[in-house]
Amino acid sequence: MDDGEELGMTIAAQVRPGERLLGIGIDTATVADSLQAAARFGDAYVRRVCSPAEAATLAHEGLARVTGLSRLWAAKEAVTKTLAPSSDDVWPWPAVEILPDGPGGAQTVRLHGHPARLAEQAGVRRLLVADVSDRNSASPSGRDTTVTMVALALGSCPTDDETSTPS
Amino acid sequence: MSTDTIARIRQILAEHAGLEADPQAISVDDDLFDGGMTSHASVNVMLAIEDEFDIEFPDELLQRSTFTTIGRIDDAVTSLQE
Repeated sequence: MDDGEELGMTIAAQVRPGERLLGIGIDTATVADSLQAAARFGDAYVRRVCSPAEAATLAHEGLARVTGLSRLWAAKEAVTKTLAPSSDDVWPWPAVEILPDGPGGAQTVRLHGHPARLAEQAGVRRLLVADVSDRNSASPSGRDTTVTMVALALGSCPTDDETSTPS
Repeated sequence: MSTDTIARIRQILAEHAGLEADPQAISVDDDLFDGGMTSHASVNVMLAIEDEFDIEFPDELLQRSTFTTIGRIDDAVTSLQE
């Protein structure tokens, strides 16, 4: 199975009966980018990207910490792409919260503030994120490793009443 | 529009924006995202501007449009310094 087929299977397995796909987003982050930002800006970078609850899930230091930051960043970007905000939409990154508190440690998405309102207006009932990183993308040093996350925005299928047209 | 502020913004862009063109050579109205700045790079630019000008961007200014051009960044910096 190639990467595209695997991604398709990942997506199809997530959609429940009665749901429809409203949006899909994908983003790839490079660990080196988070490493540089964390080295230059320290906790200020973490505070601008992560909620306090997200920050608490990160490793305390080292490559594991910046890889976690990269994974969060890619997930937030992927979710944002499903919602397609306008250039003027207020979008503080901690308002798109990704926490590993789903079944079996699965990541769940919680939106706050404007992102939550935008999702509600779009009829989004559920948001999912999945790590679809290429297993071959890890570099020996870790710096050049990339992390790819895909997000799905799911809504309810229209009822018969909603789909029928007046005769 | 302060020439000094614009020069300092251009210097920050040179260090953090990852633009394809030299920030000294682009117009204050050129779209930085079209010029190669990623969303992640725009966070770095914001943090560097906060350090440089000793300001803090409030949530209501955390819009893509705030960081779209040098002119828009300058407007934001000026408003936060008042």
